[in-house]
Amino acid sequence: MPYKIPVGPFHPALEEPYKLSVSCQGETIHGVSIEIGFSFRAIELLAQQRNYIQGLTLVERVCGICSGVHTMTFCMAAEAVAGVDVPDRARFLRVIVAELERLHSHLLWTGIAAEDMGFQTMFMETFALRERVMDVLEFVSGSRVHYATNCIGGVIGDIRDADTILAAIQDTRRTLERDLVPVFTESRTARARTSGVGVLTKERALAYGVVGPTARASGVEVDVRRDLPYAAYEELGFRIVSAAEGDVRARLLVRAMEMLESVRLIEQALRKLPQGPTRAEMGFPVVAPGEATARAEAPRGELFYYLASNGNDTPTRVKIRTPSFMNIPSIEAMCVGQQLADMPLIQASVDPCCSCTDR
Amino acid sequence: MSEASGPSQQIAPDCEALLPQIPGAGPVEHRDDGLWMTAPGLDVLAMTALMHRIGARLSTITGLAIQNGETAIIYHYCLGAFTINIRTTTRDRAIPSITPLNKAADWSEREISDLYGVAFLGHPNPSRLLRPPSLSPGFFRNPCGEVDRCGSQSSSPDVPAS
Repeated sequence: MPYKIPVGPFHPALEEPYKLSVSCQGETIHGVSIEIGFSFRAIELLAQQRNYIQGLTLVERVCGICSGVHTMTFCMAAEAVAGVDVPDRARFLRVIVAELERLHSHLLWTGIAAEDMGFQTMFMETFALRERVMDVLEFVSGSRVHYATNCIGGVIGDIRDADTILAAIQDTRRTLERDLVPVFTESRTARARTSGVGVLTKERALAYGVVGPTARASGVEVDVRRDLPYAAYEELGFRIVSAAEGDVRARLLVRAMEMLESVRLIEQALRKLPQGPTRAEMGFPVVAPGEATARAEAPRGELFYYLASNGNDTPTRVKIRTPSFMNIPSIEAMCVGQQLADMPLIQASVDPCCSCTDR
Repeated sequence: MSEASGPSQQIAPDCEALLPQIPGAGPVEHRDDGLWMTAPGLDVLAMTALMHRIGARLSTITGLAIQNGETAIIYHYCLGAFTINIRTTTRDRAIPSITPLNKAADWSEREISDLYGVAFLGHPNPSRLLRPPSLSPGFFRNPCGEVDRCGSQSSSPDVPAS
């Protein structure tokens, strides 16, 4: 007898509110339908009623995890319309904060994945390491969550003690290499719980247009850092990580290896940090009439901004397409034919951010 | 598991030459952030078929409120480093849905339908995406339509109630 289970919008299996209506036959999932909109705040509309400085503060609140990449992409779009060049030092500083953010986002996700696997020890280890990364972010920006480091034309503030940050990052790398990555890539528990679970084939990944680690774990090699290098990624020699299997294990492996790449990029950026100004001399931003798009690689994948200006201090249109907006629908394809008990882990493997998706 | 380095190996076709072949195409402009084409009468289904053929990925669709209740629709495609932005316009507040040809357009079309009151003709599931069905569509077109800033009730002049 087929039956349907509503999961959410508020449910212990979900980190944020969205709703999965799961159709089952016995313990096997036959179909999933997804509803969103429970965190809708009309941020795009509000951004069209605020000047560019207020808009920066606003778009940073789209997400509590990847807040920095939102301000960076908003600035990149405004800089493209205004024709502003960002100083070299600012480009490197943007990479440092963006990769620290990716590191703490991926650590958050691996912790949640460990908990969903029933692997409590790794959950504790992962979150302990994440705290250290959060400490570095606080040291760099003064904040743990909303860093407020980006401005149109560069960055606010500077890094004066690169050696302290470098030492903390090297310590993070050692812990990742010694404990976390081997456990997630080699342990029997992680393997048994994730191999062959929640497969998204390459064909399905392309059809759904998924981005970020979800796409790269299905063999779709898309990464804005490589495809359209921004900030200082070209100078730092970014290396893309991908896998072909498309299951939860592949998503775990891709994120694990990406953490090591993030650490390498931060180390490189700190060592090569050029001297000079951190922002263009422009005072209050004047954005000429025009329109532009900007793309950046957020922790969950490609973040897309479209910005239109009529020359006033307030943008006429701000469009924000977050990576989770493209990734969440693919949960439908991942769940069909799977065991109901695996559903919490499968949906978590996309790292769904409902705050981002709803905006 | 594989690791690759270096720039994208994907060779972009000559999009600038292909875009004018779409029925209803307009002038193509090369800007810093990619190709832009404005074509109010564009055959969006033919556009979708062409983008599929050249392997372009639909990144998103943007809606912009314009006069007379119509909406400008911008399709943003990515092909490696290229961004292809194709702008068209709704006709009588409607436009053919490209979701039957490209599933990645599903939520983007539903969002524009919800927030701008656009009917995407032929969409397989034209239900509201972000706001409850009890509220009128077109919130971004007229945010004060349901309860204006003075607190009085009014209906949207542009968008009929659902």
